[in-house]
Amino acid sequence: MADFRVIGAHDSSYKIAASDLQLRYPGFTLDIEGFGIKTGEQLALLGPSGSGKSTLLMCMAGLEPADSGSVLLDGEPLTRSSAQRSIATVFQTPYLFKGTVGYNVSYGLRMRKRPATEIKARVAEVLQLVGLSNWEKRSILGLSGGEAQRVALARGLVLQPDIMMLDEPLSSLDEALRKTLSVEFSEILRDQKVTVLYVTHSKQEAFTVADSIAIMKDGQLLIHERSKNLFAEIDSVNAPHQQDWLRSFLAPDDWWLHMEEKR
Amino acid sequence: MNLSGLQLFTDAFAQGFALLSAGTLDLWQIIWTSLQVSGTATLIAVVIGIPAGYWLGSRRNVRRFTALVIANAGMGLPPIVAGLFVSMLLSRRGVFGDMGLLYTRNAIVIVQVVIATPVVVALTASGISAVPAQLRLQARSLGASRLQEILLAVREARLSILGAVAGGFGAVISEVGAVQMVGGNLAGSTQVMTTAIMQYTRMGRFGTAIALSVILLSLIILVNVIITYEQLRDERYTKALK
Repeated sequence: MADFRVIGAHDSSYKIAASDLQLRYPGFTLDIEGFGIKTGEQLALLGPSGSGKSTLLMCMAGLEPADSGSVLLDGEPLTRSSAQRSIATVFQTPYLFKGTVGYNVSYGLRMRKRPATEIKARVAEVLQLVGLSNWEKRSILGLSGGEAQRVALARGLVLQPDIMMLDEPLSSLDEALRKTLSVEFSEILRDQKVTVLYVTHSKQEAFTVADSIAIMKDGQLLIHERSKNLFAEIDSVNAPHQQDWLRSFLAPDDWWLHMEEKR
Repeated sequence: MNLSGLQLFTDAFAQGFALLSAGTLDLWQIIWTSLQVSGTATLIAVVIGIPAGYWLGSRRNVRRFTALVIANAGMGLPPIVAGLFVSMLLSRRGVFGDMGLLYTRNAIVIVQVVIATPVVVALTASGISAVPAQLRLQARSLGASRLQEILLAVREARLSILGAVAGGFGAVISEVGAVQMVGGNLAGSTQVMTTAIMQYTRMGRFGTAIALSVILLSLIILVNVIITYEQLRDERYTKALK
């Protein structure tokens, strides 16, 4: 556990770290004492709906200002420009821009005013990576949900960001597709050796995608641990009632057993 | 019923087309004046209205609500009221009386700007507010500057904005009361298509009136053809390639 606690905000081993982060909405408070992601770490941020996972992601991505506290990127306070340089995001709804697949995937490179030949080559390369080779000229409006998320992923990856932040990227897809895509996405992200923050409410997705897992509840971070040590480390969580909650939250889904009993 | 009265139409149409094809100078001059005046007014309304509409469409607060109510009500502003206020401002005893603007083309431009701007503002605002805020966040996270974010939102709302421009132009090119009030329908200078049609109709010169009406109608149809074409293109592109 101590391995992942943010001891001081200036701990340089973290790629990105938040300390004493607070954000209040009516009926909700995000309160993060310390949270950091190491370079190359593939972290899944897990928790029930409304636990503040997405809000934390938005703060870490610099897209939503916190009321207080700080986010450090490479040890420096996060700014609009440093966030734009290092972080790419993918949201639950892909929010593709009107136009073609190529228009979308090349967007970030065009904003960076890269030469046209480089853009063309990079876009082709990344589209191949996400399994959409030669789709540049297709309209986004004919895409299925899964294809749209592939485009959204490509749109981020094309920038070769240090950090990819994905906010429930597969949640709007059907279950079968979610399974295949989570495996595929995790392989792509691993190959790119990018630091990952992957927000999800699905345990299965979290364990598929990530090598470490953080769990949130009611705006607070309960645990942040390597996936393989997660169950063992529940005992080191301070409050006993939180330990109980974590155990029941992580318990395998056994709805079909209940169905058997009913029969 | 006097069916032989229908001959009025056939005669007027025949005469109208004859006048147009003969290139009668004062007829084309009236058309040209209309286009110049309403074109200028629309351009000014667009320059004011699109940024204002963008601002209104991308904010979420009470001031925005108030401003939107004003813009939406402004769309329903009776042009004759606009004409009255502009007349009072420009009349010799008015605030801007010493500028000698009343009964000039500039007076018409001013009153048309007053009529068109709320239309452009309100339609732009509604188009922009339909662009999800997250889309802009997405653009920002991909490296868009503030200006590039705005341009993206405008691009996403381009059909509504095109509609706003066309709506503004349509409102002023076919306006008659306010234009008559501040412009005065002076032949050769402030006479535009609508005021001329009114005058020639009163004089019983239906041929001339019909000629101008055909041009006016054609303009309105042309503008709508362009918009509909763009809308259908967007739809086709929605359905295409799958």
